[in-house]
Amino acid sequence: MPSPQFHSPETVEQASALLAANPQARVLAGGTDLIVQLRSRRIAPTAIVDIKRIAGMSGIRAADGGFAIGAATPCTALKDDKALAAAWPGVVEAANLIGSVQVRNRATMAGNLCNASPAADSVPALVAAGATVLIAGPSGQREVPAAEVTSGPGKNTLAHGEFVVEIRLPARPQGGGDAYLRSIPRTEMDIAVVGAGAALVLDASGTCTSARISIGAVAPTVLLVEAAGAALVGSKLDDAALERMAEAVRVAAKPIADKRGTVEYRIAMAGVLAKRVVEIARQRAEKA
Amino acid sequence: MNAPQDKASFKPAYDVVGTRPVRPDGVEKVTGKAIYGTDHVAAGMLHGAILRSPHPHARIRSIDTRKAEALPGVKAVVTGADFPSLASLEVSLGEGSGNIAAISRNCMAHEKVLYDGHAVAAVAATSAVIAEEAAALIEVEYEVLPHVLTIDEALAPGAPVLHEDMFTKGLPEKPAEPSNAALCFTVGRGEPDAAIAAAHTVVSGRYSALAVHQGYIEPHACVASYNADGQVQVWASSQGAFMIRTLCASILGISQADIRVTPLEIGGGFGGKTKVYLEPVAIVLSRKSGRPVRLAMSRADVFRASGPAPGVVADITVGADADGTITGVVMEFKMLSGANPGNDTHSGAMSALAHYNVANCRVTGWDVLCNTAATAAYRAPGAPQTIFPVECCIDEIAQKLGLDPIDIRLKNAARPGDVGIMGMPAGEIGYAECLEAAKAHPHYSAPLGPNQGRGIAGGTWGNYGGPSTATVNLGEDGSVLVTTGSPDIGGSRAAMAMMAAETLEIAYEQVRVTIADTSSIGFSMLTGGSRTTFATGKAVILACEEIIATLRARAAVMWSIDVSQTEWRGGAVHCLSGDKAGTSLTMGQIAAKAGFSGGPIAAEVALNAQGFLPGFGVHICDTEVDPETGHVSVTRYTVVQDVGTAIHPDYVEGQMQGGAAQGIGWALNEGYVYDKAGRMDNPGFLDYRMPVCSDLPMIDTVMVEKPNPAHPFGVKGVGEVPIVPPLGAVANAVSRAIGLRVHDLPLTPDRVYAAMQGKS
Amino acid sequence: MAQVHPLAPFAGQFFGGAQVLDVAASNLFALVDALDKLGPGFGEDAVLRAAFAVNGMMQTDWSAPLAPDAQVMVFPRVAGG
Ligand SMILES: Cc1cc2nc3c(=O)[nH]c(=O)nc-3n(C[C@H](O)[C@H](O)[C@H](O)COP(=O)(O)OP(=O)(O)OC[C@H]3O[C@@H](n4cnc5c(N)ncnc54)[C@H](O)[C@@H]3O)c2cc1C
Repeated sequence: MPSPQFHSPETVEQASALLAANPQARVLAGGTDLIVQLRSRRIAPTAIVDIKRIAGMSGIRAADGGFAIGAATPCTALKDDKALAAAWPGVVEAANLIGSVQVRNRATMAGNLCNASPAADSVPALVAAGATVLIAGPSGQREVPAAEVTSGPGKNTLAHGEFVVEIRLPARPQGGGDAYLRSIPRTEMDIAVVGAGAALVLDASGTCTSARISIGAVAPTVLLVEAAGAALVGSKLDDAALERMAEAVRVAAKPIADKRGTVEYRIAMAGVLAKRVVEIARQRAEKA
Repeated sequence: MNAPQDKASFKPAYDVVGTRPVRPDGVEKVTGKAIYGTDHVAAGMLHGAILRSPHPHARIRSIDTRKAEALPGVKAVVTGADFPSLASLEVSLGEGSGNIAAISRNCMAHEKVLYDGHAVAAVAATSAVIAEEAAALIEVEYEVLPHVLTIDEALAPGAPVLHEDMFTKGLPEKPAEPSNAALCFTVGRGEPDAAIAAAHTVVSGRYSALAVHQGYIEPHACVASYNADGQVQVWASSQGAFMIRTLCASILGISQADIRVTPLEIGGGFGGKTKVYLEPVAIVLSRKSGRPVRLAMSRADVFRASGPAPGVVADITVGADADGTITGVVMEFKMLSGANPGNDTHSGAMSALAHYNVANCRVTGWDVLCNTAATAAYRAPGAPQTIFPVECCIDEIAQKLGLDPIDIRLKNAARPGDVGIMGMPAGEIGYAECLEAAKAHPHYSAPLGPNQGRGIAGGTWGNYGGPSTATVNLGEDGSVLVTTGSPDIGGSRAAMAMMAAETLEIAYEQVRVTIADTSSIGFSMLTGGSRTTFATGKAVILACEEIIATLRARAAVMWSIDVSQTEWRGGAVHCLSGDKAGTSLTMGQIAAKAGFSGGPIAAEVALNAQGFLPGFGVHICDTEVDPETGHVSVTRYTVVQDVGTAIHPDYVEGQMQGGAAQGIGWALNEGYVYDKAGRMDNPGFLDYRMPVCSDLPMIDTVMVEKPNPAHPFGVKGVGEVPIVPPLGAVANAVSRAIGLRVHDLPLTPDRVYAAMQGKS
Repeated sequence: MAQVHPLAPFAGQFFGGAQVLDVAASNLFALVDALDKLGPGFGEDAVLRAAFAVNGMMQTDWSAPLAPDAQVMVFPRVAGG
C-alpha cells in the first residue's frame, strides 16, 4: 500500500479539481476523524486534500446579518467569536463538547458534519439552528440545509468533486434561544448515546412562535422532529406541551442497540434530553 | 482503639522517612528524556508487526507466509513453528508459577487460536509500515470453531472446550471429561449452613462484575537483539526484568546467563506487566533476521491480547445475629479467566473474608475458561471481585438491622491475634483503626443532598515479601549509589533513596538509585504484590548497615583503635577513644582513602524478605444519581488505609488515589464488551470507559500508620489494597441513593435507569 | 513433631483429605521431603504452588529452623499485581 498523495491547494477551484480528478481522494480538515480512520485501516484513500491552506477557509465572518463559518475553522475558535457565541450558544457549546481541548483545537464542524456519524455532536445543534451549508464543486456552488448533508452512517450527499466551504447561520431571531445536550456515560471524551438540540422563538408574552427540535444518535442520521416543534408552537412551554413534545421525540427516535446503549434507554433519554434542552433554550430566549 | 491522631505515638521520629522530597526520576520524566518501551533504539533495528487472529476460537489449518516474505524490506517472518514445541512444563515465578507451554502459546499460537487478537504470525521489516503491510499479506486458513464468552456458555453441557487436556483440578475425583473449569477451590470452617439457618437476619444475592483492563498508559513494547553466538539482549518496559529473563529462557531454551534484560522506564503496569507477550517473539524475529527487532502493541492490541482482570459471578448468603455479628457466610464464585487457567481463584477465595472474623463460612471458587484474552494480575488480583459481594451483603444487613455501616464492620473486624479463615492469627493489622478513622472523618458525618447516597466498604490484600537484591557503593567522594533490580513504577527510587539516607543518617540528595539490568545485579522478584518498598527496601537498608560497619572498621584502622571505640552518627564515624577521641571522619574522607585500605567500599545484600503483613482499607463514597437518566456521579470520596509507615507520603497517597480511581472505574463504566462473533467491541479508550479527570472528585486520603514490626521502618505494602473497596463502596452508595440494590457492575446509566424503572 | 495442616487443594490431592499430619522435620525442606513420602508428588507441586505459614507467620525461607512443636499451614500460593 503506497502512502497517499498529499495536496494542499490554495484555492477552492484547485481543491475541487483535485477531488474531481481522483474518486479515492479525501478532504482533510482537522483530521480528527480522518487520521484515526486511516490509521485503523478503515479507509485507504490514495490522495488527501488538505483544505486548511485555502484562503478564507478558516474564520468566522458576518454575512447577511448572520454568520459564515469557514469549513476549516476549529471548534475552539467558535468560542472566541463573541458575537457568534452570544447569538448561537447552543451551536458553540455543542461543537465544544467534541473530544478534548486538544481535539477541538483541530476538529471542525464541517468535518463533524461530513464524517456523517449519527452521534456527531455539533450536527443536531446546527440542524435546530436552521444552519445551511455552502458546497463547492466542479459545477459551481450550492447551498443546502445542514440536515441534508448526511444520508446515513458515514455517508454524505456530496457529489464527486464537491466539498463544504462554509457553514452559515442566520441572525438570531428576536426572542430566540438555542441549546444542545448529550447523554454520555462519562463526563467528557465520549460519544453521544443520545443528543438533542432545540432552537426556540418566544414572543413578548412568552408564547412559543417557532420551535425546531433535533435528535442525534437515535437514527441513521440526525433528525429534525417537526412534530416535536409543532407541539410547542402556540404554547407557553407548559408541562403538557413539553410532554407532547417529548412524546413526539420518542416516537421519532428509531435507535439501534449497541455497546453504547439499549433501544429503550435511548428512546427514553431522547425525551428527557429534549425537555432539558427546551428548558435551557427557553431561558436563553427569555433573556434575548 | 482510636485512630492515630498523633503519629509520634506509633513511630519514632525520622529525619528523612515521612518527608516528601522530589523524586529522582522526576526531571527526566517531565522533560520527556526518560526512555520508555518504544523509545529504545538499537543500531540496525528492524520494526516488527504481529498478525492477530480475527476469530475467538479456531484451528489453524495452514499459514502461508510467502507473499509477506517476498515483500521488499521484509527480513523475517515467524509463526508458532519457529518456537520450541514445549511439553507442559511449570516454572516457579516467585509468588506464583506458570505453565511455560501455555505462556509460549499465548505469545504465539500453535495449532489453535483461543481468542480474538491471539498472535498467529510476526514480521520484522525495515520500517513499521512495511512490517504491517507484510503481516496483512500472510494467509492463514482457519477452521472456525464455536466459541464461549460467558460463564454460562463455558460451563454448559456440550460446550466447546478450549483445552482438550484440561480436567478440573481440586475436585474429590478427577472428572471423566475435560471441561472449561480449570479449578475448584474451597476454604472454610465451622458449620456455615447451620449458622445461616439459625441466623436472625439473612441476606443473599447473585453479584457480578465484568472483566476490566489494567489500562496502563504505555502499551507493551520491547527491543530484542540475538547475536550469532547465542547471546541475547532485551530492552523492555515491564514490572520485572528478571521475570522476562526467566520466561524467555524457559520458552526458548536459552541459558539465563545468555539473556541480558535491561528494564526501561514503565508507564504503568498494575499487574498487567507481570507477563511476557512480545519479548519471546522479538527474540525469535531477531534470531531469524540477524538484527535487533522492536515490537510494540497498539492500544487495540493491548485490549485484545493482554491483561484483563477476570470478570466474576458470585452467589452469596450471609447470616447475622440481631446485634450485627456475622454468624455464617456461604459464597460460591466463578472467575472468568479467559484462554488459560487464571491466578485469581485462590486469592479471591482466601481474601473474601480476610478482614472479618467469621466463625462459620465456606467460600468456593471456580476458575472458568472462555475464548477471551488470558487474564493477568490487576492490583490485588481476585480480591475486588470477591470482597464486593461481601461488602454489599454487610451493607444490606446493616440496613435491615438499622445499624451504622461502620459499626457493623467494627463489630466483625479482624484484629491482631484473631485467627483467620486460613488458620493464621493476624499480626499487627490495622483494619479496626481504619474503621475508627473513617468514622471520625468529617466526610462521614457531612450532610447529603437530594438523590445522594453514602456507601462504605472495607477491603484487604495480603501483600508480599520474597527475594530481592540490593547493592550499595560509595563514590570516592562519599556519595552513595544504590542499585536494585526492581523496576520503579510508583516512586520506589525515591523510597529506596530515603531509606538509605535514613539508615546512613545523611541527606536524601546524597543518594542516587539505579535500576540495573539482569546481568548487573542479583535476582529480584518483580515489582508487584506490593512488595518492593518492603522487600527490596529491606535489602537496601541491610546493605547500608553493612556499609556503616565497613566504614567504622576502616576508620578504626585509621585511628588505630578497636571498632567498638567508634560510633556512627550523622553520616560520619566518631572516634570515642585514643588521641583522636572527639574527632570524626566523614564518608567522603574514608572513601577517599579506600584505595589505601581494604579497597572500594561496597555491600551487597540478597535476601528473602519475611514478615510481610496484609494491608486494610475503608472507603467512603458519596454518589448522586440523576433520577431521570440513571447517571451516577461520585461527589465525594475518601480513602482510609493502614499503610504501615509511609516512607514517601506523596507516593503512598498517590497509590491510594490511583487504586480508588481504578476501582471506581470498575464500578461505574469499565468492562469488556464482545460482539456476537466473539470480537472485542470496545478495544479503545473511547468505548472502554475508564474514568477521565472530570468523572472523579478529589480523592481524599487518610493514612493510618500502624508499623510492621518486621520491617526496619515499619513498611507494609500499599499498592493493591486501594482497588479492593471501591466496587462495594460505589455500589453501596448508589443503592442508598436510589433505594434499591443493583447487583451487577458496571453501574452504567442505562442499567441504573432500568433498575429504577423496574422499581417504580 | 511439627503439626501440619494441609488445606485445599493439597489435603485432598495428596493426603487423602487428612486435616492434621504429624511430621518430624528440622526445617521446611525436610518437612516437604517427609510430606512427599506421605503424598507422592507433593514435593514437586509444593515448589510451584504451595505457601507455608509457621506458627501464624508466612515463611518463604524453607531453610529456617522449625521448632519441634511448630504449627505449619499449607495452602496455595497467590500472586499479587
Ligand atoms: C479523541 C476523540 C474524541 C472525539 N470526540 C467526539 C465527540 O465527543 N463528539 C463528536 O461529535 N465527535 C467526536 N470525535 C470525532 C471528530 O473529532 C469530530 O467528528 C470532528 O468534528 C471532525 O472534524 P475534523 O475537522 O477533524 O474532520 P476530518 O477528520 O478532517 O474529516 C472528517 C471527515 O469529513 C470529511 N471532510 C472534512 N471536511 C470536509 C469538508 N469541508 N468538505 C467535505 N468533506 C469534509 C473528511 O474527508 C472525512 O471523511 C472525536 C474524535 C477523537 C479523535
